[in-house]
Amino acid sequence: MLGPIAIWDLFVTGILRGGMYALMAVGLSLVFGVMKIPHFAHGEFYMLGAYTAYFVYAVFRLPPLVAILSAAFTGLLAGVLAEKLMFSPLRRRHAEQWVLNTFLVTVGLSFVMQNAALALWGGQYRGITQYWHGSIQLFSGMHISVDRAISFIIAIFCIVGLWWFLDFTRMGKAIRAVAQDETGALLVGIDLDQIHTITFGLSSLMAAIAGASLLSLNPAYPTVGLAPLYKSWYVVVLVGLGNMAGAIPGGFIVGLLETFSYYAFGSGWQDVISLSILILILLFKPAGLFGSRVRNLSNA
Amino acid sequence: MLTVAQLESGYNHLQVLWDVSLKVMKGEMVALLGRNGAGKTTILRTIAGLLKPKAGRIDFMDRRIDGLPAHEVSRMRISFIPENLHLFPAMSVLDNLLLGAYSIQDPRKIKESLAFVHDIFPALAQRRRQLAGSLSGGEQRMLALGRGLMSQPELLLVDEPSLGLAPRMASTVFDTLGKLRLRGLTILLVEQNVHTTLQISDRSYVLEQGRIVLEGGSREFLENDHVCKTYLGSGDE
Amino acid sequence: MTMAQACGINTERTNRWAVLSPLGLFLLAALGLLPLFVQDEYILQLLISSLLLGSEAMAFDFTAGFINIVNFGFAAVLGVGAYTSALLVLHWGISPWLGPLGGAIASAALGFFIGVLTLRLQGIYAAVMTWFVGLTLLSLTASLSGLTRGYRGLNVPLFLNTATRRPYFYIIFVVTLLTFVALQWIGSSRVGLAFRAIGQNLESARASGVNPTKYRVINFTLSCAFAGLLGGFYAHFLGILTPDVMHSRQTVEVLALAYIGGRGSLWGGLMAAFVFVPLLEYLKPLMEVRLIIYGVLLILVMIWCPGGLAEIYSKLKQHLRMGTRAILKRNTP
Repeated sequence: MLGPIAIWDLFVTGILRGGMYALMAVGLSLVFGVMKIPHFAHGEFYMLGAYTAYFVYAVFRLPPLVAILSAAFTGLLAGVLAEKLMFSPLRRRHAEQWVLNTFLVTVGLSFVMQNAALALWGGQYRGITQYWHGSIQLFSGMHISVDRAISFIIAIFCIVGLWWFLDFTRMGKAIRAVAQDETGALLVGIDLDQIHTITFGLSSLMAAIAGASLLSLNPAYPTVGLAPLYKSWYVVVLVGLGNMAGAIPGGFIVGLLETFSYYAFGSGWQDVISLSILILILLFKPAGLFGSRVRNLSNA
Repeated sequence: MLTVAQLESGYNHLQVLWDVSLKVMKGEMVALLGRNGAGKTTILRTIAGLLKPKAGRIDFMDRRIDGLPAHEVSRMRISFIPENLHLFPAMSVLDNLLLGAYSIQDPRKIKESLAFVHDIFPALAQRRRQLAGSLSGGEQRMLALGRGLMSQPELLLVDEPSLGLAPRMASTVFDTLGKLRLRGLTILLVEQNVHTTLQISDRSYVLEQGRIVLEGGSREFLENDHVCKTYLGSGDE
Repeated sequence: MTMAQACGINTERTNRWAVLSPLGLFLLAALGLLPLFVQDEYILQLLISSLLLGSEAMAFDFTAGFINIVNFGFAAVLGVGAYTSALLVLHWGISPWLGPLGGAIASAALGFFIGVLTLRLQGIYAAVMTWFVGLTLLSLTASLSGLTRGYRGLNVPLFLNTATRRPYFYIIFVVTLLTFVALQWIGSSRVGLAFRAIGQNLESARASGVNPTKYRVINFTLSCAFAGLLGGFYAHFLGILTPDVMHSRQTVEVLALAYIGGRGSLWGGLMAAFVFVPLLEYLKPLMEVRLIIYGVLLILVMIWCPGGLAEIYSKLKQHLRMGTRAILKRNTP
């Protein structure tokens, strides 16, 4: 059986991962809720964040916070560019089959970004051991490394920040308005193009922050985004597409589940089991665990 | 104030409007009448910028507005209150109203608008914290009107404001429209309720199959039995 | 204007027996005769790759272009066919010539299963489901290392022990032909019409008496059966299998070809394979660049020409036809 300390360690890892999954999943949810884009290149913005942070921190030897902030900025910039160059012209040209077409565009984008990273930086792992040294003693042998604690705080800070932004600012309210009723938003004078660009930029920014803060756990390499991508999709499907509030507890549930089942079954089988669970959920509750209505998106 | 000239419009490949021309003067309340499918809503949607016209032009206060995207039309102080409202259901009444003033930057002006709307619809002040989606049908209609007023529009395009409302509620809505007009708003109204509409409006256009077939003073229409019978069914529906 | 036309889906096909146009027939005959003149193994290899990927794109398009669901687990289905065929040959001593049939049956069963799993799901949810099924199969294949040898790779007996690739060319040529004719024939039959109907609008298809449940399962079963057949060929052609064949990356390559070729056209994917596989093979030293090009093309097609090569072709044909008509008119006194 596991001792309390081992359980504690697993718990801490699970919560830390969960925080990052929540951060990723909230971005995914935001993009789907506001723009109706099933975003399959979300992991590539995570990858971009990880590389940026690595170069800034390990190569240019700048402080960790600068590394993470530069990653955030790069993510934002890349997201804004992607939206302006691809989704904006696509929306202007034809709105039919939007969900499917944008899905395929993001698939292409993911291919491009992954292979561009490979061409530019090669396939090797670029990681760091930690941003911050030391650990915090809690009680009777249970401790947390400072590095992980700070990563966790960053994740929470970002989620709370996003929440505040969406709930209390004029722009944030406009974003929610677009998600709830696009025509209504147009009628009150909201510029959809602008909202879409901001939304996609924000979501990419958060993915990049996740990639940067987890650099000590997952080194940067071209396909590092794949696991976070499918984990965040896991979360989003678990709680229902577009359900942003649900993405937060969902992230933690998935983080904890993954950590404990990894311990219990090993990596390969853990994937098989957790994926099978999700398939069952999709089968019986297609709108997600917390969802009540099945959204018809076939022709959206 | 609003001039629509030789407008042709519709959805994708289905043309609905043919050669529609109309004028609305400042301070007027003008009604668009006609049977279902005659193209009344299409006119409003085209003016509001939700539909792109295929031909013709629309001028508002000496500026050409046809082809402008809807959010820019809205910023030119034209408010469209659609039949199916398009509220933000998961937001509070207050947030819905504040979003109505999205294009206004000055916080003092927003406060002014809010006071104005709360004055007209006291119920919206009482329910400010409630979610828009949880309001009753009549309250939602008021909220939509209120949201449309928040941007301090010059011209109000109102589509079927009494649809689905109990008679008492409907007459409240008409009273409100009358009040707004007294305060100097210009209103272009689409209504099924022909009798009441003719009573409160100054002029009317009658549409049939996407064309304007008749125009004149509302009072004259009301007194002209032939017009009521031929074009509008026998008065109230 | 129907939605199909709006999306650039080719709906003009009416004669179901006209599976091949004269032009297509000519190209096909030329392709079949080509190896008689070409001795270069490298070119043969390119032709084989093009045929294989092109057939995969057609099988993929049979779901994506017809019932409008992206089977994101396509590579996994193909991999199941490949592994089944390989294991049947290895453990049961079945001839490699029959193995792919076993693969096709296994994949068809899997396709049936996926069809049932996605029954209640619409559009993107169905794609996510197939993706997760694919991921599950991938990790399952990697984990069952007693059977599949996992990432160490499974050595698979070849069809033939020959030095030249020419026989392989003819095997895949026949398989491609079979795939194309079968899919085209079904696609232009009443069943195909039902597929397109549920792909365009599920509700109105249901209203006009098409049972979406039945046709979706039939479609998945058929498309996956061909994927399994191709997987079997792949296994006994290459001689080694790793779980990587099931990776979503492989799906994306096939998906890109199918959509660049033109959704719902079937032949578009094959055409795209013949254009892009050799072209990109030319850039082989830079594998990344090749995949970047795929990605960029996919994005460009989605934004600027959602009907793909097939749309360009039909527009071109239309222009030509109108052009000739104009000339005829001018020349008639």
